[in-house]
Amino acid sequence: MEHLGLDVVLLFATGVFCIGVYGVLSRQNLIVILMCVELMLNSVNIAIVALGRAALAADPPPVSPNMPQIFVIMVLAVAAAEAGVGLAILLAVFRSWRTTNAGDIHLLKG
Amino acid sequence: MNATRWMFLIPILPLAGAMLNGFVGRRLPRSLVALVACGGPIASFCLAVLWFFELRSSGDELVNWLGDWFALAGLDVPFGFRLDNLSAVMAVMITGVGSLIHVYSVGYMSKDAGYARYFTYLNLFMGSMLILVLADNIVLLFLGWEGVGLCSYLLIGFWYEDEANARAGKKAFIVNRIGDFGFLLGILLIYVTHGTFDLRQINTDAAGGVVSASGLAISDVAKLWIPLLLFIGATGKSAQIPLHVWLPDAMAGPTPVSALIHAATMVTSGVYMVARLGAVYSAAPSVMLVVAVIGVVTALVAGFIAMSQYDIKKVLAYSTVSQLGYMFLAAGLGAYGIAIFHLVTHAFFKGLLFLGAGAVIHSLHHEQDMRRMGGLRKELPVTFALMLIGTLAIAGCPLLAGFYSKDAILEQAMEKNLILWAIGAATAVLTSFYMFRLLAMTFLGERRGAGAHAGDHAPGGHHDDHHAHAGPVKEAPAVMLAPMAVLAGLSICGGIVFHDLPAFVDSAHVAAHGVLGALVSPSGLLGTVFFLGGAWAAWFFFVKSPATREAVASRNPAGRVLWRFSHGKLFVDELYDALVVRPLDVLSQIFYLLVDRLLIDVVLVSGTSFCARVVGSTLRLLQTGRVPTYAGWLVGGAVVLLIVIFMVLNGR
Amino acid sequence: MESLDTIVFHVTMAISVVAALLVVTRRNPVYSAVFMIVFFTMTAIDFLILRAPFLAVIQVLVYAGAIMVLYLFVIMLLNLKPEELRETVPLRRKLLAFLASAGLFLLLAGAIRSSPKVMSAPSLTAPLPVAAPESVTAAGEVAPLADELFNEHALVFELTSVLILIAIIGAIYLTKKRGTVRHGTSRT
Repeated sequence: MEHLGLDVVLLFATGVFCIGVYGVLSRQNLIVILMCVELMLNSVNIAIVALGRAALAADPPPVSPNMPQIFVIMVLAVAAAEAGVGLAILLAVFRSWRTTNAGDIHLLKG
Repeated sequence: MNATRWMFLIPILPLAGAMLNGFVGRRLPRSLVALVACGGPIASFCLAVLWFFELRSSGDELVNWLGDWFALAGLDVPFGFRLDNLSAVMAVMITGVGSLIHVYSVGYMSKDAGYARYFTYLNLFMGSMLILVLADNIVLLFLGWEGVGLCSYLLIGFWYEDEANARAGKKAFIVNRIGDFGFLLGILLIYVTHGTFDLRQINTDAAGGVVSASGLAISDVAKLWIPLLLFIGATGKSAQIPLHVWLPDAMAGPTPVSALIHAATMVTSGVYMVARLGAVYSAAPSVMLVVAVIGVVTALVAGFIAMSQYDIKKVLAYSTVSQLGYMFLAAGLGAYGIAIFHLVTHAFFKGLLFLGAGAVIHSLHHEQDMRRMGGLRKELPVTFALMLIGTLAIAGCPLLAGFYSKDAILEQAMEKNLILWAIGAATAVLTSFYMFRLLAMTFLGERRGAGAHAGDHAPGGHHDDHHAHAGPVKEAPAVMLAPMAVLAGLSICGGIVFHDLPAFVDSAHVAAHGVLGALVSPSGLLGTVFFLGGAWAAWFFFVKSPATREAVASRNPAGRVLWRFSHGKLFVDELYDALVVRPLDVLSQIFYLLVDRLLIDVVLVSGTSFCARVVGSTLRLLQTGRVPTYAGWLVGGAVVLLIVIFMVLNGR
Repeated sequence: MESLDTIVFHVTMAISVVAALLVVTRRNPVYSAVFMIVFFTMTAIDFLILRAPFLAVIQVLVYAGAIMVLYLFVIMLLNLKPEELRETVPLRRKLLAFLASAGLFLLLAGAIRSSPKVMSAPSLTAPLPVAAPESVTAAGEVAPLADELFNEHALVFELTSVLILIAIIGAIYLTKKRGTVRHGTSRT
């Protein structure tokens, strides 16, 4: 019970990612869909950090030791921006249609 | 005078007039347009006469090399003019007759809306015709050849608002294209054989039987086909059988145009071309025979048709075709000088006759049907006198121009081929007959107004529903009569004055008689008999005893058949219609239905749009406008992409 | 220490998966948001174990703190009634979504399991080699991270600031009140 395999962590991250995908596909509430996107982004972060941790033990290291984590910080910044804009769109949509249900919003159809 | 380098001015001056009138003529006053239009040809005429006498005195041809037109690998086409005896005669004749007709046109077209346009075309024609005549190589000649064809088309369809005129223009253009196709092939064959376009060089090579540059003998095939193909072009341009059908229809244009282009100059360019390349033709006796036979048959057939036409211009048109046949007969007999002699005299009297017909038409407010004329002798005495001179000249009255040139041709035929002579002689009788018929119907007897079709009622004679305008019949203005008077003078004395013209043009020509000797030669005496016979027949049938004519034309079965064939123009148009036009129509209808409607419209156009619509309406189902659907496709796409990537990685 | 880390990691993984499932399945977004916070906290612990202490702090501060509070704020602002939260997703679509995500998972899992590099990697909780240089042992701490971020990736960092600025402007523009818009018409 000492060994924490890289494959286990990656499978975990993949699993969370797929849960997020399922949420995006099956839910209609726009807020929840946005949260699912956050979930997917986070799972990717976990995978990157785990890979970076595995790279530390490699000799020679394939990337600079801090590189993966800087990558994650960038993803974080993008996620923050996405959340801000996403919620703003959500508010605008709600103001127009009085709903946050993606199933009811189909005026995108040209 | 050492100014031959200015020779290019002869064709350029009318072209400059065309440019000026074409671009700004609509805004200029009519008098200025007329001045510009007449100034160019008259100036060219003066220059041409000047150089003509220069040539006569020095005997050396004048050359004006302007530079290379275009030069490709092994293909050099120079742009140059050459004035030798033949082209000098032609240039003087064209500019002279052309200037007279320009002056005449000032009066004839004075009330027409397209005044500037008319003179633009006419000047353009003069320029093209002079390029044709003066060209020192056959490509430049072809440029002029096509240029005059274009102007002919433009002027036939000058009153294009009328569908029939536009149709006549198109007919002339298309028929000429058929001939030009042969002409162009001939030019290409010349280049392949001789390796040069220079007319002088081609003649020299053909006469020697070898190409001077290579020293190789000209093959029999080239010897035969070059003149034959070029002659096809000549039949188109000069309206010989079987391409004669366009010229009578070309009478749809203004009458001065008919006089200038379709009688005096353009239609004779085929004869000029044959004379120009005389050595090439002389080297191929079989082609010479073809030329002579086609010429004489055309002369007879056209004369036969001219006998029964009612439209005054149509009679003259067929007469022109007939006279052109005489010229080709002369050329085919190797007497190029005589052909050109007849060409020149014909330009005088046929120009005069057309201008006279124009004056009659002008006075009668565009009435062309001779059945509604008659008795005009009293109202139009000057026109009558001038027309009489023209008629006497063409019919071959002794001492007048036509007598000498026609007599010379028939004399040649009598020496060389009696069958050709017999046909030519018959045509001479016909010529005299139909010309005096025209004169009788127009000027003699009593005036027949609208609706009263006195005489000449025969089966098949259809009545055009023209409205002859009642009104006073006035003599044409002086500006129209003066050119006619000049031409009349030339028609009277042209034969005597220019008696040595054949020898001047063709050094091989040996004059058989002097001016007076021709009168008493056997051929000359016979010619006088033909003239008198035809004139008497016309007088008998149309003045003395119209009843006899009625009897012959409508009751006698043989006469009736002849009359029908003559009046129906031997049904050549109908024949072409059935043999060429209809099958082409049917074929194009089939292609229209199969290719255009089915393949292009249905399969390609509608098929394409149908496919696009089907694909679009199918793909439209994907665009639900619902975000989750798009997300689903996104995931699906990612999955497929991943599968592909893995497959590629594993496969490697 | 090593085994403890491993055990903790497994526990957080289990909680994370359950929390993620709950986020996806709760009808009320408030619950979803709460379970999101749980998930983010677990992720922060994972980051700590994976030698990323700074990221762990950021995870709690930015995600659990800022972003999720923003979500909750919006949820409260909309103040949706339970009947408005009812979703009418056909079972067929749910099934399709499940099949798609499960297929994706199996595909990625297969790829992971078949990669020899991943399978032969040493334990993530094992101590670093003794000979490891300082740059490796100190990786993920604030100072070396900041050093590298601001020295070598300064441009990218600045660009990120531009991105966030654009996002802020976009958010303000989108949420600004502009006249009354009738229901069902697109606004321009």
